[in-house]
Amino acid sequence: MSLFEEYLNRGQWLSESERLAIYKYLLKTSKKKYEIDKKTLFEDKTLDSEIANGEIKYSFSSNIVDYKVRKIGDLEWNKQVRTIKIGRIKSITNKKLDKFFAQAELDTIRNYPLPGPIPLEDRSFTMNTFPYYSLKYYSNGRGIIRGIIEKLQSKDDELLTKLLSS
Amino acid sequence: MTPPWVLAVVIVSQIAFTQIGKESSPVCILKFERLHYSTSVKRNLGLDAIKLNIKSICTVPQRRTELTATIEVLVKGNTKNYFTSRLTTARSEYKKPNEAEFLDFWAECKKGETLILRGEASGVAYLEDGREIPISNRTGKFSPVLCDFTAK
Repeated sequence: MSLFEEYLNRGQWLSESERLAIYKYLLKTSKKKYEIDKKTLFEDKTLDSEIANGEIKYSFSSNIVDYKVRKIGDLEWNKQVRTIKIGRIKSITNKKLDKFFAQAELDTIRNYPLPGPIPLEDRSFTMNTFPYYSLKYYSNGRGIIRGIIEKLQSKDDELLTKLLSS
Repeated sequence: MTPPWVLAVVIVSQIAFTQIGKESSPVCILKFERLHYSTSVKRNLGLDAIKLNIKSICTVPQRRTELTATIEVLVKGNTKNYFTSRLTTARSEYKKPNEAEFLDFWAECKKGETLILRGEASGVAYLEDGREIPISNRTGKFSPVLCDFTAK
């Protein structure tokens, strides 16, 4: 079992810095998968994906991409979780969607971890209100300038290095 | 003299009006569990931590609640910040549409240390009908919390 697979079991017990490290790991290592996902999403206007113990359903309509999630095997979908507006410039859209996919996967890992040694609890779907690709995440909603400063001062968790070298 | 049926109509109308008023004013509260040493964090992560569990409960179905939680510590009479969460969203589940539960707020502590702590949280509950209800509460006065298992 790889180090990344071990972390797919942690769910709610991932710390804030570990979650950010996993988001960055997904962003760095899933480029090829995300390329295929983007093609499917634009062609079919919808995309189904799975990670850990969760399913993600993306929808694309009128330049808006959104997603909803559910635990694998559940009938009910959690209502629309996040949305992102995409523009006409392809390179910017591609980068935005890569980040959106990584955030969706991280939200899913957090809430629907793989069954394993750590027992799972029935609980509300929980996520950071501000996604990692937003400067508001770094300022905790207190402005973009503060977000830029906080982002520049932030350091990667050592977990990211470990994940990338594993 | 006013006929009795007119009085009855007036009374019934007033009661109906009061009930309509109640329905249009939903209430949301934050219910705190007491701040405690978390045996679940210790068991699952091997860390010593103080945990703050919060439930947002509304009188009508809600979509979600967004909260920032803080834990303050009293040191030599001065209040200091011990923990501030990210703005966090918890969604209601279809089985419990009026509730959203926050179980992710915890901060590491030094084993054996007793801390004088108080928790508080504030944010917004977003109702199914689109209304937004500001929401805030605190655990109460500062209370000692031992960073270790306590005998039961």
